Amino acid sequence: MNIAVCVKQVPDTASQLIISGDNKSIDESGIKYEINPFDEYALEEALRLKDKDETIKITIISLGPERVKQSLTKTLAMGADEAIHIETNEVIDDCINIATIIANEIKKNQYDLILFGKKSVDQDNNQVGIMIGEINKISCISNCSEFKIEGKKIIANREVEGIVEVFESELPAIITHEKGRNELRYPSLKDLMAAKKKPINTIKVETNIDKRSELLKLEYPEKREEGVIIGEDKSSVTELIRILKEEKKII
Amino acid sequence: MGGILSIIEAKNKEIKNSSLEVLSESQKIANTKDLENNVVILGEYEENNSNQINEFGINKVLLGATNKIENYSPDLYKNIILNLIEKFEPEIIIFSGSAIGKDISPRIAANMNYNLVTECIEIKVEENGYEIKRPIYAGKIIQTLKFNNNPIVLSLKSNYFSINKVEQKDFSFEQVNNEEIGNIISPVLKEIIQPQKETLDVSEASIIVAGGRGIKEPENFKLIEELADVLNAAVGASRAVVDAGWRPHSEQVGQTGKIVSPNLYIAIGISGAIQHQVGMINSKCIVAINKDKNAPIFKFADYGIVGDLFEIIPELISELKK
Ligand SMILES: Cc1cc2nc3c(=O)[nH]c(=O)nc-3n(C[C@H](O)[C@H](O)[C@H](O)COP(=O)(O)OP(=O)(O)OC[C@H]3O[C@@H](n4cnc5c(N)ncnc54)[C@H](O)[C@@H]3O)c2cc1C
Repeated sequence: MNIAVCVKQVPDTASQLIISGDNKSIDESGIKYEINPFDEYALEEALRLKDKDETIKITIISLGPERVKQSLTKTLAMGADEAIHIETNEVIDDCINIATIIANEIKKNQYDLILFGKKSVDQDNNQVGIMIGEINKISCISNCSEFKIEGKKIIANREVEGIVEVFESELPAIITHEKGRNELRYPSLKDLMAAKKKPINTIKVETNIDKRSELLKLEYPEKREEGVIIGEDKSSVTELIRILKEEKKII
Repeated sequence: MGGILSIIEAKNKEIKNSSLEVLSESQKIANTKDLENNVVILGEYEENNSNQINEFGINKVLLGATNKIENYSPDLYKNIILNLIEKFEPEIIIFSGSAIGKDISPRIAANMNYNLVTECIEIKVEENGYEIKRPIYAGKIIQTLKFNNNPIVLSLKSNYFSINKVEQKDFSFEQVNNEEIGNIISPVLKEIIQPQKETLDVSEASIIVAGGRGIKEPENFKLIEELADVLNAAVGASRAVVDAGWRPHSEQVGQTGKIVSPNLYIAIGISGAIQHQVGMINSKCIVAINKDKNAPIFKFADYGIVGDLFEIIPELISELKK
């Protein structure tokens, strides 16, 4: 079985983000880049399938600038077999364009299962994996919390709005993954050394894309004012209840 | 040609609240731009139940073949919507940020080769297009995007917009056909598993009582549940207690859990790490109970009590019960 896992490199979720002077970009200088957490959960699911069946081949696909290679090496150290770096130094904003580029790359190979994180934690777009399904005419189950493969079928759970929807599809299929139930693995130094021998194929893409949106500006949300400490022990409880009932009228 | 297509969902014959937000916003756009607003209702619904949608200045209500169908089917929904796009050629297609909205809107955008803008929090009509605001980096930053006259697909951030009604206008119902025009490739819904006990979901609750590692033992979550019960609130959790297996992921609030904005969020034994913070910072009122007066949560809570939760919570429960 061939599995592709599409990953995006994003700023570490603990990063403090500073808007640059042009008000249109983030100051990259202090930022540490990581693999998008939801993509890591998706990769973990692929690796667990491979743990049980060594014949499974896992290919990582990532679109982005040169620095993405570092994340790709990490995925190879975690256990993926090879990586494809679709290199572009341009920022591509429109998801439909991103989806089209990645869909073209996916078309070149016969993957049985293609995994994505449900969204990337930088742009929070929540759409690229699903779009690729439509573009390449592959069935997609989005926001999965867990899935299993039975023969040529995949059965996946979506936990939505208080219920669990169980979807079924033939392979090949696309899954966009939620935070999974399984703990993530961390590569050892030895794994990282071994990963250097695994291939990363770089593909340059033509980016004379028709840009459909214009970023006008970035701004910070309104800051919350620092609140008040009502007290230091259980005697403050009555005051808290009074505030919530009488001043705020929310209980 | 060039109007609005609003995608509305019904559940148990009621229009969902997130869809009323769509009606309210699309009405505003229709009014500013003098556009026709056509509405399609998907999901189980009955025509004679139309008082819920009376006051939104709608032009026409279309009923897909789904009005007798309870469950979500990506292919069926997709075809109904694509047929309507072909028929009305809308310049703007608006979805809610519901689970269905999140799943179906990218399918529509990809089939039409349109842009999709998710999690919209402000839509401004400009002379030659739209200016749209949306949060990025889990809300640490807000971006403003400009779209020129090409058709676009939007989905709104749920529980964000207030619902404004306008004067009643007559509208008609129309049954739409359901020819297959999109790719028929989607997965099939086989089963729906209902929760073992009826619980309030964090993304829908107006009060959330959330517990973190300060609770110390999974059994102690009884305290959180009891407080939630008294307040008719949903139980939320930090990632620390979800990863420890004490609570289900559906309760997790934060970057890799749910982003919530209830009227009241009570954080108990939660330190307020940035990844938790981004999930609840838009709550209208935040109360923190933590024994460490330097915990980051006190930097953005409206009201705090510094103290041992094992003393404070039982007292809070018994005072509230009085
Ligand atoms: C990629 C990534 C994604 C993440 N996503 C999320 C997410 O979605 N949601 C999330 O919550 N976290 C997330 N985290 C984890 C986050 O960084 C924190 O580790 C986590 O929120 C801590 O949980 P906590 O506050 O329960 O635990 P702790 O940080 O351990 O805090 C426990 C608190 O309880 C207090 N306490 C202890 N005993 C008592 C007592 N008796 N009475 C009162 N107070 C007491 C302590 O003072 C302390 O402040 C993420 C991390 C990463 C790297």
